[in-house]
Amino acid sequence: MTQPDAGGTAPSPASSGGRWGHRRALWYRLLAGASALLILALIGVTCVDVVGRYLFNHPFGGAYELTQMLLAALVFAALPLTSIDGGHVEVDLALHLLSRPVQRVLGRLAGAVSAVALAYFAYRLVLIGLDQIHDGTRSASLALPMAPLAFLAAASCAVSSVAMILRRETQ
Amino acid sequence: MTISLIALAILLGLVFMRVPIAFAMAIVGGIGFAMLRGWAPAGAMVGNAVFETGLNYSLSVVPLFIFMGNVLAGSGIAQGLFSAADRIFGRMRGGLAMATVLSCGGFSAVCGSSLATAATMSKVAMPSMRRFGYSDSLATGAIAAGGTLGILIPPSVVLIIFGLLTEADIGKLFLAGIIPGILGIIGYLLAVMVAVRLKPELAPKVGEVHPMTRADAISVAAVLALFVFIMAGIYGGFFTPIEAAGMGAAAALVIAFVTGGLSRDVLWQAFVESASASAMIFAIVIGAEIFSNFVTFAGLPDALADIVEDQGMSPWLVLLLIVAIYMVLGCFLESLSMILLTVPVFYPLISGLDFGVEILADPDALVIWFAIIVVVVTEISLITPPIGMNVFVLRSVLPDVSLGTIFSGVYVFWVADIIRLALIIALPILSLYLVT
Repeated sequence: MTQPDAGGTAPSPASSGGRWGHRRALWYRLLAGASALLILALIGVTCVDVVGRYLFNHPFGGAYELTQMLLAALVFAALPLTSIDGGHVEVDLALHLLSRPVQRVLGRLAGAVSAVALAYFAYRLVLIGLDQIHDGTRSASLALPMAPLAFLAAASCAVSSVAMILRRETQ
Repeated sequence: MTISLIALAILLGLVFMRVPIAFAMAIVGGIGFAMLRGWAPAGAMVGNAVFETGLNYSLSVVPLFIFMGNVLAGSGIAQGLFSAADRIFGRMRGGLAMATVLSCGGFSAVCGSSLATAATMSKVAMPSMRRFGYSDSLATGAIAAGGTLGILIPPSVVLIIFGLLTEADIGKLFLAGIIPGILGIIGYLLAVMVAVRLKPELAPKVGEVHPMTRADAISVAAVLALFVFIMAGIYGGFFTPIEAAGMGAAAALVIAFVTGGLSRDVLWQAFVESASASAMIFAIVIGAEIFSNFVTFAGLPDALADIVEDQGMSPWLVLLLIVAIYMVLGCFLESLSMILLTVPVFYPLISGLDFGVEILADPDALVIWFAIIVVVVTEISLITPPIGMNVFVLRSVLPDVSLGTIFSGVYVFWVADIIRLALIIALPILSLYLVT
């Protein structure tokens, strides 16, 4: 079983090259930076809302909705990072019984299966986005358009799908 | 029922072929749903599950509580907790192992994840225990077991997800976790004492005991302050348990900057790891949502309820069977997927049962008690071979220790857990005392 990553335990990216070489790529750093900003924004929205509610008796009306949208943006910004890092939870226990070449083939196969699932996610999200453009769907209280979020999610799943095929063998 | 079981078998098959569990659930659930209802509804269901899960307000706690734990882990607070705990037990045989257990419990109070607790504490406690000649088995066993407390002692990501699945009050779930969590700490401390009594060679006679430093005291005070801030904020009605994650994360940043323990690199690392871990968890939630939709549509919960009714089974027998199923599933499934997959099936079953205990007559109390039982069973699964997630975390942090060594050290803690589970099942008041 693999993933130590749930909560900040992956090997340091400072160890350059090898498994973590991709972490220096521009797209990776951009998505990581966006994720960091989105986490800060999520914290900020909550603080402004809670503090405003008590100190100034003036809650920040759109906090709920803004949190939802920032959260979706964060999750989909970070999904390609997890996918290329090999960060998804998987079981490699039974595989230790198999020879290395067989393990490698199975790993590739598993990556391909995941890539198909992610590509399908992307396809369905594009359909959702097109629907939302067609219906002019906007969020309830802030009236923000929803379609860009759906397209962002679709792009994220598409990139993650490619990442699952490209990812390096972890062992 | 049959189709659900076949689907479960295929799911386990894919998981063992190394397909990430999130995508295995999504594929089996999506195709299963399509076979029952057609491709178009299945496609729409899958798309909605992906999009709506991202927009789920309550799940905003996932990145924020994880970030809070990562910031504190990076700021050296775990080290302070460990040294402070060492002052208490330093003079006893196995004292460092006991300090590990206690500081794991303390770190759990500001961290919502068991894996993160185990990973953080292993970096802090393992070097000390090695330096003083502790056996690897006792040292790693104490960390793996102590780490499991992360999902029981509030704040807890798993309890929040349980609350979302059952619409139980998350604030009450947090309160309910405190006494069983403390029982867990006590049980693990006793387990260390028993282990070193049975095999004195596991731990050296006496380590040296240093006086508490100012940094240690600050760490302990910071953890206490943050825990009190979160709990008082929730129960004083200043913020909701969901908002508590954002407030806690902000407070953790303040603490880290004030104590000066957080470098820029470590902060950056905390951001990236939190985002990445969140995406991993959301992928699992999405996959489980798709699979649960299929299983529910296939009628598994109803079929189970019918079986229980037809057989006239005693509620306690049903509960014990469910616990047994969790113990078995826990050997093969990762903890979050296990909870996401099983609670929608078992919760309707449990909520319809009359246990004949006064305190459980209230449906709210019943679900809270069930939640604690499920979380404790999940904790046990984290250290049960062959797939104890915490054990694997240690294995990856400490590549030179074999799995067998870790499992051989974990079994005394496993026994303590089984006793605690029995107590929690037999005495619902342990979970409900603070709630009622």
